[in-house]
Amino acid sequence: MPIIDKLEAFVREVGQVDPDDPEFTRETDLWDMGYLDSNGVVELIVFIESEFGVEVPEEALFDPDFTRLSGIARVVEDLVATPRPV
Amino acid sequence: MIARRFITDQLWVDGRPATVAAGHAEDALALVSAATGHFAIHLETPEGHVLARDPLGVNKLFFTIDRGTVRSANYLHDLLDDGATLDRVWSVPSGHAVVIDPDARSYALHKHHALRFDDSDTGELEDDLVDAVRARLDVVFAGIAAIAAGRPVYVCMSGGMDSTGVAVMARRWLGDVTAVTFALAEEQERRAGAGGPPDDLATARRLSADLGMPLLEVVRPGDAILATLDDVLRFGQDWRDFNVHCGLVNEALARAIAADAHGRGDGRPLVLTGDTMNELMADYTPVVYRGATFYDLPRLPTAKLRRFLVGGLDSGDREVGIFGHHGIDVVQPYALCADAYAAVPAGALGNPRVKQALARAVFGDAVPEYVYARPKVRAQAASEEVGGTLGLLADRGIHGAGLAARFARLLHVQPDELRGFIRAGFYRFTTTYPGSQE
Repeated sequence: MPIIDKLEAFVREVGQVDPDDPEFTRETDLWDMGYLDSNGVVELIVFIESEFGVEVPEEALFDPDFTRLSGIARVVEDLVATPRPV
Repeated sequence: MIARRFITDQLWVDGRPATVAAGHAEDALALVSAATGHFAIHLETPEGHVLARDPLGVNKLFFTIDRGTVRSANYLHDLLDDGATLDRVWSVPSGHAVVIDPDARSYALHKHHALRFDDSDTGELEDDLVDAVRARLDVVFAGIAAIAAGRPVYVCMSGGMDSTGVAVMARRWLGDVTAVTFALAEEQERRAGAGGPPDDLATARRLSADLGMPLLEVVRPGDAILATLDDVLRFGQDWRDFNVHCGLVNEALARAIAADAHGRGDGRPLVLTGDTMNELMADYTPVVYRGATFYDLPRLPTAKLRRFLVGGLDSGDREVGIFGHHGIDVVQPYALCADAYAAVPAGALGNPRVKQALARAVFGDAVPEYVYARPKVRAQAASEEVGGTLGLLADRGIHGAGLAARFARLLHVQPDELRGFIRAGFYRFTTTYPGSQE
């Protein structure tokens, strides 16, 4: 399954997003629209790290990309492509 | 460079207080990389401004860049009062330093400290770990003794295990220390009618007598506590329930300590607290009060939670900021031992008895058995019946979004502007040059 599909499925579950919610897209600002809060993003980070075997740096929290599914997927793709030294 | 700084830096190298001298940026970065403590520094060097914060972010540091001038402050409201807008204010994240050259519009974020948690599955606490914690506490208290000489020293005593451990060490290393404890007057009256003082107060009295420490009892009615809410929001730099509830207790303690120390004519008072231990041991749970759940946490196993709880110390100023505006310095000894406590294996954290097991191994019978035997104590939620400062606010419908709105009003910003200012426990920071207000 592509990275973005996995992320979307997870965010839909954590944010209890209605399957028919027209506001929820891959370009929706998840923070502004209330789909993600601080607890939710922590759960998302742990999911990403466990699912994709990467470490999400703190810098991601305020990365403008890390507000939308499409951007989060890009961040994860970059992390997968260039793993940080542990 | 304009720095509005009110909080004393406790910057230590090799266990001893150190000072930051003017020099080059790389010298400053080398120093903070070798340092522990609670600090938030802003230096001007030939390479630009160096701003750095301690490993856990105990001391807060905000900055803005205005027409080539880098302004920093411990308190967010100071920058706003000076004309900055909230969207142009950034924090230096905990354990990081930034180097800013406004002329070249360059900005570099350096991570100078990263806690290394033991993520192994073992549930055992090895002797080496206990020895390391004990040794680290000794180093830390030797350092505290160096900065405490000649000053009135207080230790916050809730009657719980964490604060008792600090009190035991303080008595051993510092000698003349005053314990200070908090109770709501209404709860004291209610318990007095039932035949005795509140459990926390009774334990603090017994403990201070056993440790040979005078006890400053801070018993305040709810209305008096509520009247301090705006100060708690402003100087506690947070609107979230948990930190506000803790901040209300600390504000009462700070006022009492400031008054008590005033007559002594000594140096700036120093307060030691047991804070940070709960984060280091991931010892938090949501609290249900009258059917409502407070202090929600991410739905994660305890072992995974620790890193985020510790990271979350980056935001909120429930101790240093609250005490600081009364001219009181704070040291959190456990925060200074974070490296040692981070070695507790993740597999052990799921065991509800592990914290007590570690405390027993470290402090032994210096902590009385009746303290080990007590149920968990939280000063901000003293009992289910009265609810401490949690109940005080919750009963009046002051929580959640209401606190955020009140915080925003105090800072003259819109509540919407707060969205995104704290994420996953971090104040907003930037990884690129943030621009200016011109």
